[in-house]
Amino acid sequence: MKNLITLLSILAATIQPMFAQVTIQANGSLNYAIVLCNGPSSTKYDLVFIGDGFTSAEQTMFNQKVDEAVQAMRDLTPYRETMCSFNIWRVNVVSTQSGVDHPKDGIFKNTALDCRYGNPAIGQAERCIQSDSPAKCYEAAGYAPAYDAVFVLVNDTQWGGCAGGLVFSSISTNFSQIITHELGHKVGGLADEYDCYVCDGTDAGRIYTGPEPSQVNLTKNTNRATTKWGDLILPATPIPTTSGASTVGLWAGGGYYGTGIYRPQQTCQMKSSSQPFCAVCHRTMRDVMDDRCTICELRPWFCFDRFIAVPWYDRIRWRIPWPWPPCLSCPPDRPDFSDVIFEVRFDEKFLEGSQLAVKDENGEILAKADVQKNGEPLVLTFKGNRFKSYNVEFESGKPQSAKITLKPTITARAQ
Amino acid sequence: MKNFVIMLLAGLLLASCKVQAPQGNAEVIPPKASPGELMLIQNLNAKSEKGLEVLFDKTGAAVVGTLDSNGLKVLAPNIPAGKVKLRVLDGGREIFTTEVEILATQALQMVMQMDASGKISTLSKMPYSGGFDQGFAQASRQLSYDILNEKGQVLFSASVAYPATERKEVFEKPEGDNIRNTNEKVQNVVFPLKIPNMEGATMIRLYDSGGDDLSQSAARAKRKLIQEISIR
Repeated sequence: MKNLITLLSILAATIQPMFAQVTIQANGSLNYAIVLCNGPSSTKYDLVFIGDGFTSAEQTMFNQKVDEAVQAMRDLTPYRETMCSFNIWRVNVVSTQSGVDHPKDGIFKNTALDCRYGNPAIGQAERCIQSDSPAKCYEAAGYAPAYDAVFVLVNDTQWGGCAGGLVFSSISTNFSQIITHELGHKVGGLADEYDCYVCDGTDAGRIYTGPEPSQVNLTKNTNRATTKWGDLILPATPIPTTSGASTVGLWAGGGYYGTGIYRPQQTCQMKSSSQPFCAVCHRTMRDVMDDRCTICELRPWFCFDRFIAVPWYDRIRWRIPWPWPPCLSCPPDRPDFSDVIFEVRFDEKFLEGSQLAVKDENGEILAKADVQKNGEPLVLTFKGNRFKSYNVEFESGKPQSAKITLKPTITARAQ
Repeated sequence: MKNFVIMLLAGLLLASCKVQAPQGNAEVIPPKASPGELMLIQNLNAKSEKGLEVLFDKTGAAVVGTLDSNGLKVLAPNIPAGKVKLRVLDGGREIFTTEVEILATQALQMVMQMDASGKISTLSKMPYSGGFDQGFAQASRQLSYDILNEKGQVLFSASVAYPATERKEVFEKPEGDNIRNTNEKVQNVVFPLKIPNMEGATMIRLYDSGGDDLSQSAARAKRKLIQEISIR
């Protein structure tokens, strides 16, 4: 009997639930909130934000911080132009106590994801935030429809962050830079371009002697004809490159080494997270993210180039459904498209009195163009909003006896 | 008589509660979808002030957009494959219902833990509505995996960047301090691996690979087997 009890005790200690339970705050009937959804997760890059050290009363603050992080993406190119590549979800994880652990100061909090700052007493950098229960982080992220990257925001204003499989950040000033930099690693596979590792002066000028790095933004190849970004290096640019902040060349230092390895430009988001991406990283990010967008998301006017030909007698009315139905997720959530200039153009020659009008859903005319003289084409430009639908109506000046086909070209462009 | 009137009134009241808005030509396209895929509920003719809610049986689905003011775009939720009742609610009142079919996910997500010795254990395995890791990673060290069937035949092979064993501090302070990394090694690394949900798959073999091009058979032969894990 004693043996049985011992055995059961061992079993009880051994068989742990695969995941501990994380308490979340539901959003209506959903266990997550949609921050940005551009289409099926199988075709998009899914980001999930989860929080630690946010009590139930602090969930609104967490939501605001997520919005700030997303805004940081919207503010930085090339994310700005390719937000269509992302789905962004938010899972509201509820902690019992506010804040996270600071082992250095003997501060410990009861939080859902067991996040803490590094403990210098055991050789950790304090600013490196981490979770002692990463499985809980993945459990929380698992409430979202999908994730390619999980960002854990901790409710603490002391500067700090860290990245491994998960990305951690405090909510201190400029924390959103961590998001944009880390996405450079995760989305673009970009390398860090720092020229030191510890960077306290003890490891300055380390010489790189390894093989050619696999990442696109580092190289040891100094042959301008064959180096990775040789197509972007002007013939007049000296190699190695030492001047011209925006000059693409071969700048010494990167990948935590000071020499023997080169980066494309003097500064870059991957070297200093307050800077924009360099040309090479920008191009790489763009290539990757463009693949996650449909052509009509990237260039909505492509849809309209294929606009159907319409039979026309004496009057035609048709509607521009905007967003355009054939593109399931078109137009994308592109901030640069918050106001859109639509251009409707007929190159056919029309009779005097023919009229083109754009109306809102209530039938109110927003813009109008008339053929003033026989034989002129009709062109109408008006400023619209990407969230609204418009009706475009065309009326001929006189009844036409023959059926013709119109092929209007409608373009939309950001202001 | 009084009781009869009361019963009649109660009956009428109940009947009125069950009256639903006409469903018209509403339809769901496509009627079958995998979790995470978009489904369009068209011709709904609903103008809600409270916001429409879509349920697949009892599970809420994300309404991610509208269709020309006359329909909804919803994401099929991550629920087990099978036929379910799709319901559109307006302020809690059902205005449309139909049967749809949820297909199996294309991917499975395994959350794994690698200990300091490199041994890998599975923390969880669940259907995943996103895509799976495919192709070969461009990394100096890769975690390669093969999916095998019962006969030991390789059904699928891919690799991901080797799970990070060092933490990076990926930022600089606002006041301009440079990045610093610690040499601290992480004892246990938890990482997700998204694999295809394949019929007949029984086993996953995980390999430690260098930076070789794993599309070449010679490089694949050099891989070092870490572990075999059942995915049955």
